[in-house]
Amino acid sequence: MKAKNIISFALVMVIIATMAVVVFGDVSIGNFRVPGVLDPKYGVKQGLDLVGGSVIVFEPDVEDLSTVSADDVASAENIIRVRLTSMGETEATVSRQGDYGIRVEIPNIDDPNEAVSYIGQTAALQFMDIDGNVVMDGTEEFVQSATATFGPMDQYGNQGHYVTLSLTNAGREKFKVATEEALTRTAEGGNVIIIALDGMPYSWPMVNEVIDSDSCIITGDFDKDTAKELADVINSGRLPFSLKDTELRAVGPTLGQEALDTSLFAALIGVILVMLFMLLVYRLPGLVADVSLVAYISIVCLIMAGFFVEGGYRVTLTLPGIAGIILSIGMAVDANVVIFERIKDELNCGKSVGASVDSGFKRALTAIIDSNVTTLITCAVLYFFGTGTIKGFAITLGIGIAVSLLTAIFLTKFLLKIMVGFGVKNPWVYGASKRRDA
Amino acid sequence: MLFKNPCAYRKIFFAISIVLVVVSILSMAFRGFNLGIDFTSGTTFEIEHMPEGFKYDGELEAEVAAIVTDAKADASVQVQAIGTDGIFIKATELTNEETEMVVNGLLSYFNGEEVAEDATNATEAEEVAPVAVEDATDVAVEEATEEAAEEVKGLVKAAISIDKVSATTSARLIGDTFKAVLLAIILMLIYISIRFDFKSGVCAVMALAHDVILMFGFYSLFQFTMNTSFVAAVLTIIGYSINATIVVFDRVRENNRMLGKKATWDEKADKAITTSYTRTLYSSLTTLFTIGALFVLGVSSIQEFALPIIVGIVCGAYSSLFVAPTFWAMWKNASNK
Repeated sequence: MKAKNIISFALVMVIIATMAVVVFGDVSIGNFRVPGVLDPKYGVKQGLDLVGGSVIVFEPDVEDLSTVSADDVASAENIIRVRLTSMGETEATVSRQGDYGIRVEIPNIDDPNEAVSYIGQTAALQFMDIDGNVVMDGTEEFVQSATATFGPMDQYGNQGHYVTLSLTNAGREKFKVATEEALTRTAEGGNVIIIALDGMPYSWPMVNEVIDSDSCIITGDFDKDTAKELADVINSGRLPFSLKDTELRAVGPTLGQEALDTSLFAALIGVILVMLFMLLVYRLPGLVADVSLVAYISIVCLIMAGFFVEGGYRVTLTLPGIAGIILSIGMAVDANVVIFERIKDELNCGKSVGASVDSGFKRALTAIIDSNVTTLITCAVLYFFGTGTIKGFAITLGIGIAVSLLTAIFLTKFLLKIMVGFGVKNPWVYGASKRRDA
Repeated sequence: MLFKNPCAYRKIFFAISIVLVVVSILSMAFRGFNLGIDFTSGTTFEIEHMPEGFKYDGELEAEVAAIVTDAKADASVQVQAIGTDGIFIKATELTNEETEMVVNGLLSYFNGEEVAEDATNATEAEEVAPVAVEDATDVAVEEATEEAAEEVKGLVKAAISIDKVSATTSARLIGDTFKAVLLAIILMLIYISIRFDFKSGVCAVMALAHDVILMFGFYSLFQFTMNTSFVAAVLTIIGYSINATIVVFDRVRENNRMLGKKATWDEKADKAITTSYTRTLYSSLTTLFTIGALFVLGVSSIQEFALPIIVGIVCGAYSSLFVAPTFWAMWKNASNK
């Protein structure tokens, strides 16, 4: 029995130590490198308030938002993507917020104002010849619509993704002239029509024949997404609105770094204080709780870093997120305090150590489950109703509570029972008020 | 003894709570709140560390405020010191161009050039702004401004944090938050009613309301800035304080089961309270260690979040011990006679 206990105890300790090393490490063994939780690529994704950067929420700049269709917003969203790429902001993310909001997150940007005015401007879509002379404006007057289609592209029936461009009568006239012009320059390779967004060439389809029709197709090496993107860019020329920034949060990179450093340092100090406190007040169970706490922090970090798997789900850590984790540490410790107080009560009633540990856990369980479930209810409400950083807070707090239930109940219980099995049976080391004989 | 059988002294505890709640409500009604831009809409600028040689005083405050009114004449401006060497500027909502002007104004002010006292500098700033805006695509311009910023050792653009919230966004935030709080409370009431009894549920929610009102009151009384982070803090305390109340009610539930008719409601509640003292003290202390460290060491945005949580934890410890269970026992007494 004892040998089995020693083995399982050692095993658990090794697992916890390994997790802690993996999480806090950045250790290299030969070619094998453990990245650590703060690794920018594999670790926890750091929010813009920690690394610095800007969050901008755009909305169509119109009097009445109900005149804006969902397609228009989708189109505007794609324009923003294209513009971000042309700015070189490849790390930026674009997402929808509500029905009309478009949320843009750009890391490490020094001058958010430039980005705001560039991204928010009314799209200027133009069709040009090879020399950059505008042959047709991409406005409502000339362009009816552009749609991405999948189907047969030529007379041989080859299937593929392409974009159908529908023109108005005025547009048809202009396009006819432009394609005629372009064809005269085939010899020098000038038989193209450039589609330009904001004066920058975006796509340059080749002209093979004079197009005198109210619709034509643009083929090329498209997949579903690129065809859709081109269609959106062309449609953007007809968007009657510019975008205004309804919300802007720009944290300078230097401040972001300072926020991260001080928060981590504060967390470290806080955790050390908690550990010392538990050790002093509860002695052996306190030590066990400290070990559980290390396991708890490691597991939370592992989950948040998506287990270091490439492409895994990584939680974005924001400042309120750090607060959420710290709070959940408090609650993880609370579960152990509730349990240990029960054990102490039982011991002081004169029960044996083994019996006290058993019934202490049993009687604390209802309180721990009920209290944590109610907190999880708040988390869920926050997650579904909150936006931005509040959502991040809800996610980290939720993960924290779920994991703390595991470590505070099962891991602590497991380790404590092994201690009892080892014959550590002096009630004093379990926190009982007076030294007694077992 | 006050702490041995708190139910006998419940009037004292109720009186303390009622006084605090009334003071909070009066303060909210008459002093109001120092609402941040998340609720009022507006634009803020924050410089965590001013360059060496700058000290926050009335003169600096007036000059910084002038930078904003140069950009927008009718803007209302508030300038505050943060920490030992930082400043925080809160203004009405500025357009993108006006924001740009303020940033440029701050840069030239803190980097030692003459402040825009006369019109020349102001127009200069105006000229710079539109150029940067129109030619944002022009990489050359972008690089030039970057270089210019790097040349001066002092304040750089990267060290200025800007927040802007428009009126529509802030209205939405208030609506969403109110809905979230209401929903969370209703769901908790249902859960507690199922797991305990309806009266416990009502008492727990009442204690919660007590804590939240005191948090609001504290913020109103001392005029701390309220922002989204305060909302997150209130929601955190709703989760945390209910946690504490439930641990006490769990004891009550157990005493009720074990003692049955042998003890009065007061005795059951008293026993639950006295056996929960150490747990509540220790748990509050450990949480205060971590959140307190954040408050002491953190940057201003973190402090803004940590402070209301600290207030809420203290209130929660008090109400979960002395308000919720004693009220519950009184209610039980009244309905069981």
